[in-house]
Amino acid sequence: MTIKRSLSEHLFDAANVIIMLILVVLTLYPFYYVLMASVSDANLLVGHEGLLLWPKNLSMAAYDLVMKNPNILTGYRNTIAVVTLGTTLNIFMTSLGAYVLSRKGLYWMKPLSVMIVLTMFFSGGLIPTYLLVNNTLHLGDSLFALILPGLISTWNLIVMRTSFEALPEALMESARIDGAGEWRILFKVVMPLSLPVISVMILFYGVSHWNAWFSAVIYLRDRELFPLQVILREILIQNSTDSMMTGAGSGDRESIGESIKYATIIVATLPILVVYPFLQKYFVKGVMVGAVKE
Amino acid sequence: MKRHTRKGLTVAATIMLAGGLLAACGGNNNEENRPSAASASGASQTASTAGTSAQSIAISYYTALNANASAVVTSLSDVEMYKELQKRTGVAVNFKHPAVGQEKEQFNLLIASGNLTDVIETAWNDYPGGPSKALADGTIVKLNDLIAQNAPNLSKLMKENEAVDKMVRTDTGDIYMMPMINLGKYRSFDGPFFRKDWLDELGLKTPKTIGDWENTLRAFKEKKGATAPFTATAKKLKEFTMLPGAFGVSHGYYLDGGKVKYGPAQDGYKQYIALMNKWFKEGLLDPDTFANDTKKMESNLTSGKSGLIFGYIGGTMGTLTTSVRQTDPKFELVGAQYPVLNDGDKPQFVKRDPEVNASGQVGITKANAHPAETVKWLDTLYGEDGALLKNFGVEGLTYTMGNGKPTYTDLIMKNPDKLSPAQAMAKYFRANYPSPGLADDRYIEQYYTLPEQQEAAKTFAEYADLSLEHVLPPVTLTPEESEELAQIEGEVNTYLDEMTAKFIMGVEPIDNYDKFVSQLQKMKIDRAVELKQAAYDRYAKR
Amino acid sequence: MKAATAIRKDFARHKSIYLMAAPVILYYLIFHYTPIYGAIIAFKNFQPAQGIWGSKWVGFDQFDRFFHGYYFWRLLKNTLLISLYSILFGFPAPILLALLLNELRMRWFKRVVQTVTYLPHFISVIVISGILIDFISRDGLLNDLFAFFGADRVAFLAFPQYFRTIFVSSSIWQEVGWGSIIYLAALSAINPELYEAAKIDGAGRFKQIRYITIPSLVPIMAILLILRIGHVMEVGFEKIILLYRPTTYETADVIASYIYREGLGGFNYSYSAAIGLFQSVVNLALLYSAHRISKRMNGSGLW
Repeated sequence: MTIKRSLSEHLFDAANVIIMLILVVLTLYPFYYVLMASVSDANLLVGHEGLLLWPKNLSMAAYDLVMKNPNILTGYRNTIAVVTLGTTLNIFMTSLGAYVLSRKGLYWMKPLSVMIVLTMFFSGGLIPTYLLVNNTLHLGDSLFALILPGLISTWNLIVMRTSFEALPEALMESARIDGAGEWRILFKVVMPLSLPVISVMILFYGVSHWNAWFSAVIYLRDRELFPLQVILREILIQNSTDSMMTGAGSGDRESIGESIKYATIIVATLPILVVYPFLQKYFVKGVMVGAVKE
Repeated sequence: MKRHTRKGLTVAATIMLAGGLLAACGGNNNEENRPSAASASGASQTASTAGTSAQSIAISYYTALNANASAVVTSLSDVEMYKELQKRTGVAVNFKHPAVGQEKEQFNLLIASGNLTDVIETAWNDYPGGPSKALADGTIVKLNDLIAQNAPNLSKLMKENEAVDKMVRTDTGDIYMMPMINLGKYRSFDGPFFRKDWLDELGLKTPKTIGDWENTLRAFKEKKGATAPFTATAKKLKEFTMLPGAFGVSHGYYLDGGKVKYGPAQDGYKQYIALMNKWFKEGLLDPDTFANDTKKMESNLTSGKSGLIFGYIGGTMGTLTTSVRQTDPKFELVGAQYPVLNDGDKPQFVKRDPEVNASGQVGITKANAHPAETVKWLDTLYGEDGALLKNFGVEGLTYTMGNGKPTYTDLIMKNPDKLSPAQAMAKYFRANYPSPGLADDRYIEQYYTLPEQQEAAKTFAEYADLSLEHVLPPVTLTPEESEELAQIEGEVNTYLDEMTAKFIMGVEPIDNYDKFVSQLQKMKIDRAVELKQAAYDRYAKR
Repeated sequence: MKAATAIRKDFARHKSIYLMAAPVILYYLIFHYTPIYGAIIAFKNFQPAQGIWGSKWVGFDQFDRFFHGYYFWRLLKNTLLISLYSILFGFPAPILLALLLNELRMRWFKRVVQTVTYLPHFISVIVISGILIDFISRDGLLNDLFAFFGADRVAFLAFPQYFRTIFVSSSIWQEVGWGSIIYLAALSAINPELYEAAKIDGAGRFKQIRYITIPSLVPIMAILLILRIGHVMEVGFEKIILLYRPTTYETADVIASYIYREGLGGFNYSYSAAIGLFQSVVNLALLYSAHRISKRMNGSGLW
């Protein structure tokens, strides 16, 4: 702060703030639109044009209907179970892998890296994976089918490894000299130093579990186990069946009310929006801790 | 701060490890107490050891859950009709449902995994390679003897109706499924709807010929300020046969004197496309036809931008009329007859549901240890009591009997939880979407609550039977044939969708139509027609 | 012989590390390598009831069918163009956002912008597409704006020339905030002393950005870019099929949406497996080249 800021820097700051404000408005308006639409009268909404700033004839009917959907609550329960257990296991396995791969001078590390990266490009495809999970491991109709096959995201693993590699080797060396074993080094030295990247990973994994639907629709046939996103999807695609597959013998079909669609979006997204600031607080703190440590 | 974090981490690590253990246990547990879901053989074993009397058998039943039902129940086990059926027959059913919208993936995986449920309800013509392949693969079993011995109701219906008997068999005469049968007079559930209040205001009659249609649309545009007089989506245009039908052709394959023809390759289709192009240029056809989705199309109608729409008597005419009338009591739609070229002609291509529905067909798999009991159980739905249960639910709860006629209670028609009739029905029985059993006209008569809906149903039914001469019945192809056909159609369909849209929008001049047809021929459309013809010939000989 | 002893020695010395690697290796073997045999269905005519082994071998028939298809070149071109535009505009966007966010002086405002820009990532593609269609339709918000300035109303979704812009820009809108997280994490790891030293040397803000901030992002940028290039042949089908129309196939139809449409008809797993294999091989070749280039240019690559 000792150097006086030049005019161009002031201009830059001002422009920066303006750009950010525009970005915020551009990002928020569609959400605001969804919120307003969800509390609007479905009939008026259909013919609506232009900017939607206030609800059209405030009505909570859509929420009433959504909450009557018998699958919403079980959906919440299942999603929360998968997010907590799944993310915990993800972080454990990914840290383990990243730590191993970040070690240098080991004979097998390069082949191992190549073996792991290759999996980003070649997979057996839907059928053999399904047969493995369903027939061999007997995970069909179990929430573990949503967790175990994606235990490590290779992309995240590589990102985490890159971050571990950036840590000063000397710290680990000194721990080793103090007689610490590899597990101890990972949990007591590497991970505390890597809180920024770990919190990012928690977010990445957590959100991907929250948003996941494909493995659920593949492995689950017991509707009691369906996560929230699958229920959300079921409701949403009813109006866009023009481009998606049509359901079981569609027959005479009415398109569902627009406001129901939007209310479902709110119901399925709100929890994460509510939890998010708290998460972010920790997340930002984690980032700061990491920054100070180095 | 530092210490705190460290401690937190140790705890976290412990949780992670515990999680790992849990995962391992979970895996094992799972293996043992898994519901019969994916291992139908397991389920049927339990069933057979539990006893062989029909009183105590349990079957696993795989079927897609209709969107109306998925909004109100978690599984068909919660539907009143099946609870009652279990009381009556003693057969317990364990339903398995794929997610709505993913039915095809799940079905294919079910087949590929080899862990079949006892019963599978689906559209068996969509089985990879067709129904005869499903039998040859051993996925499902031949039902001829089982039905003859255990299904008196269905056997009777088959004996009395040749069409039904033909449609449940393969070319070789094997019965492969138990269908939904509709013998009533209502088999056309959709068609074109005009704004009746506009017609009245302009002193116009419901149009009959293509010329009338054009004049009416023009009047809507000029006098009512409609910006999209005829609103549509790309999908709707392709789905409805009424316009090409006026020129004696259909969108895809159709029959002309026992010969299979492919619509777009015919001259009549060119005339239809030219007409659409003219309407598009003149602003009679929705300028957004190729950008719209269903919702947008419906909103054009309700907001007074359009006066003609293609849709369902229930979900379009009924739903839209009821909702718009809240603000505009004059709003009225009328179901128009399919148009013809010259006054006095009869429309030949009215959409007509066949006697045997294309979906809601039940196959008995090889995993089923109680095929006879299962067939017996299903057969009740073809009898009088069972059909009442399927179409009307439980007496006293969802319907009342008076003068031998069932009437829905307010629980269905004016649901206290504000469910629409379609959803209320889906909560208690399976009348309003395909399901095995015998359909009942008296459902439709009550489901259509507005007088103009009843009228529309009659209008669309008037010439529906003429289409029997032109609509290809549900023919079955051999596995090799269906594979070859799929390959041809893959390319042809993309090309067709794209080119017809371009012709209509005028991006591609209509003079190039003949070039388009010759490209279709290069894509082997003639071979596709040949395959369909062969399949039809075999069907006719059944 | 010598190599073998070296390996044995290496193993003995790092036994505990290899032990740690075991669960990870096991995971990859079970969930990624066991099913890989299934790729052989690309050379078979897979029938669900016959299973993977029982289905008939057909050699390269499936590939042949794809390469000689009427639409092969168009699909390839559309896929590559959408991917390239996504990289060209979509890759730098989060970096730029992270840099700008990093320069914001008001902490609370920075946090607000961050929180807000992450939001769209949580919304499913169906929802995003639905809102998008509403906004850009002929009587939607965007056209209202254009009409206000006297321009004609355009049904953007019906014309092929707008498709890529719509697709790429909406994807950037959805992912830019989320994508910046990783760069912000990297930025927060920069030693503050570097900035202090630069200030003492008299470097202004722009110089600090140029000589400290950006260089510190290079390693993570390189990795992410390599990974991104390794997915050039993949354009998710879901958003495409929600947004395209027959009239825009010309620019919008990509390999993934083509497979999806094909699948609707016959559920032809073998055909899609063959196309998938083709995509993987191209992707891998691109990834490898990117990796080599990166190694040569800044000394770090994927392995």
